[in-house]
Amino acid sequence: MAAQRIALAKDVYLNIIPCDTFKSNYLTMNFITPLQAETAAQRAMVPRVLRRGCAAYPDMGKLTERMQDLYNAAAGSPLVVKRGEMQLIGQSAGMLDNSVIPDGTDVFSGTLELFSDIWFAPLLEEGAFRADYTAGERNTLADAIRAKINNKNSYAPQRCYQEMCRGERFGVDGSGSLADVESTTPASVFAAYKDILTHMPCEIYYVGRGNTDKLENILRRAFAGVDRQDIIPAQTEVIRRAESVREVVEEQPVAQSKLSLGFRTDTCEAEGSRPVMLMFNEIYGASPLSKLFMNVREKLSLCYYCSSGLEQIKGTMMVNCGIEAEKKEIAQAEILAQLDQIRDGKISDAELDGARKSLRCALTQIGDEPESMATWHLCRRLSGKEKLTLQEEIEQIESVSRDDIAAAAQRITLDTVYFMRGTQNTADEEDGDDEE
Amino acid sequence: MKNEIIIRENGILGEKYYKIRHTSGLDIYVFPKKLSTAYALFATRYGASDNCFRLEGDAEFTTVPDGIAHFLEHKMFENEDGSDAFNQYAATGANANAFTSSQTTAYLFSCTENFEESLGVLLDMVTHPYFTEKTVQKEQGIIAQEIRMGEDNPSRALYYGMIRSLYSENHIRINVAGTVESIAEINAELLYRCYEVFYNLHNMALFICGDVTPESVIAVADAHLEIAPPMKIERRENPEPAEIAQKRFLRKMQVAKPLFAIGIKDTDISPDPAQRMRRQCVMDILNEILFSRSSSLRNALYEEGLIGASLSYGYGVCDTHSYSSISGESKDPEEVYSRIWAYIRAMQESGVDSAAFERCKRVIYADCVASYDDTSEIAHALMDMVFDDEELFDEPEAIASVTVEDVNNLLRTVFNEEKAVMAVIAPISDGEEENA
Repeated sequence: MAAQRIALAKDVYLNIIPCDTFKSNYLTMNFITPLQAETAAQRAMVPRVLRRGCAAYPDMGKLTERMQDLYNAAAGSPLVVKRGEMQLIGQSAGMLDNSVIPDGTDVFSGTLELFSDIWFAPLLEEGAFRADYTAGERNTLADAIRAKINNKNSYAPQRCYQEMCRGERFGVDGSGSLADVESTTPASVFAAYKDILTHMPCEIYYVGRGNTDKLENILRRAFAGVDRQDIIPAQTEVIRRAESVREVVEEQPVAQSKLSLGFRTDTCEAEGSRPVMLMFNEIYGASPLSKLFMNVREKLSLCYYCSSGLEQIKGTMMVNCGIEAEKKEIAQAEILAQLDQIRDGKISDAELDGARKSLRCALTQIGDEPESMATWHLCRRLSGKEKLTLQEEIEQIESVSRDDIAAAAQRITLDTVYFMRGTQNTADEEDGDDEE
Repeated sequence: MKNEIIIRENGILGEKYYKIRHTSGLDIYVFPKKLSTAYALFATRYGASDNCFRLEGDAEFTTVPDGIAHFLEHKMFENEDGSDAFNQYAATGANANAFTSSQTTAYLFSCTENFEESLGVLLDMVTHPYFTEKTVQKEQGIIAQEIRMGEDNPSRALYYGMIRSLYSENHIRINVAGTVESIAEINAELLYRCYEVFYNLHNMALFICGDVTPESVIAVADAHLEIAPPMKIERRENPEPAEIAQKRFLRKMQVAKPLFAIGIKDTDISPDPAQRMRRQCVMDILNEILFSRSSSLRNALYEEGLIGASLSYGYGVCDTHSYSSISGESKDPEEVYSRIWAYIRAMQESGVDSAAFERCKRVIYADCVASYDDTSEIAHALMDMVFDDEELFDEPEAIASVTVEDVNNLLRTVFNEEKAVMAVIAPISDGEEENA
């Protein structure tokens, strides 16, 4: 699964992962930009406005008709992803392979042309994006940011990271703040678009089959009209340890309270710690065999979910669970007690073996999904680990020892405790006469 | 007795699968697929809807508390020796899970090695129940938190609001997890009773997709399954009237903007599974014409700021119920409702555009083909088809056979405003408590 890497323009690379296993192919273009409050909202708007229409297909209806003609190809799907203190901006395209198209339609070429049209031949008025499209996408994105409160399971960890990293670029939301989104204009979004095209490193991944010379040519032509210069590298600052624990409590009218614990891990992927941290996380709280699942859920019956997750570019970890408000202290104590168990090396052979097998399975499965393959390769590159293969990563995990994991756990410090206290204590409403 | 084996093939898809009537009484489906991941799904025709039942020959019907099928699913992971199935899967390296819906309970795993060992774990855990009053009590705390989490989920409230407006009797109304009160009534004896009735191998099926042979699966089944006595389950449910239960449902929750779900009850359910599959294909194409991003209505509503970027729509049919739905976010759901019906009435007059029909037919065909790239998707599709007595490989042809007349016919019959409901989850205004 080694990727072929082709330079298309200054700091623009096409990475081809040949693969003939699937009926679909996948293409993704990622501009790697520094995440910062001043630009996050404008940049997040760019792929959305571009997807409203391009010179050749000037509105959503025309553009969609073209994609439907191409057997539901999905060119121009907006891509806005936060990884560490980087904001990836771009688009992706999924398409059926020509070999499964019954009527000879050239889906491959058509989708690539559309991919190129959407980003490189946009629809402009008076030297900027269209005012109505910009206004529409501004409202949509603002609504999406406001709607984050709808899902409490993801809202709580987000609030925790906002509080924990409030003075850091990592504290900036991946789509910028509501106020910044609302102040974007056709000119400011267009300027952000030009800035991205001109100055940001770009990594393109293609997973699949088809005529890759054609793919290269279409993309080369797309970038030929761009004056690439003064490329800006994106970096992430790692705060190694927490000096003290910060507690944040908020009340919300919800039935279930949410507890999120944010930690600093004193290491990041660029330092080569991914294998040990993956093993640590698996044992601590990432599987049904983990200490958090087996103890906070199964033994103490405190919750339905209690799990840990890593941000390995930034060097942080978070534990999340949903509990009854009065169980906050006991849950927090148990979560920390389980971390202490690992620090003390209290990891059974079965836990160690189970974690290795589980990770081997998860990593092997990446090869069964084109999008996951592209993401895995891109993520390693973001940490300067692009030479690593999946097979090598699996081997590295095999060699992680109990002592390595205990040592990694000893370096972890608790930074922020975020507690969303539910104020709605009535029992179930779902089944009552709540229909008006 | 010998196993009966039937091979099904589809030349268009280039796929085949085996149906094995195993001597134990279990139907086993093996779909070979050359991917790293193998996926197994062991399912029973038993879900939240089955709350009143008896076996042929029983004098009385048994009525059980809401949420018991889901509760049973949780408890099946526990073994008599106090260990649980997750421990066993950890040793084989499989990733395991389970789910319960209105009509199905299913246990599953995915793995990239030791497939046969993991399959043995799956067959053993599902065929060996073990619960005591103590283990049941422990689970009540965990599931109560799962229910509480669900209470805060606006999408779930929206779904049940729509379903309970469409149906006044059908057991699809029942909340799958039950309520905190209903699960308090569950005890070990009731769990065993439900298990004995619904976990008979004649009421179950096993679905496998991956790089495996039917012979290897049969060998595991031979070693782990005992012959089940034939049985017949009777389910009792009040007849559902053709009319809807109520036109509107409103509930206030902590959401940023109102969420709406429009449901349209379809009562013309054919007893012939092939006819149901065909109706599904016609409705899928029709919904795509009406509500995808190429639709003039969808784009007008979006441009006017009446709906957000995403609008979900779909149709489902099985032997007991059928409905079409459209859901999204809007500042004015009633306006969206009127506009949708005005658009439908106009199109009922004019008929659908034939070019739009051809495009949307491509979309549905592409969705079908693309679903054969993933072992879990294949196993789930097989399960859905088998449990509704349909033949999976008939689908591509069923899609191809749909005509514009079919689409116009269902446009004029299924889209009947008398059969339409709308559920709305509206934001809590300032200073207002959630209505209980």
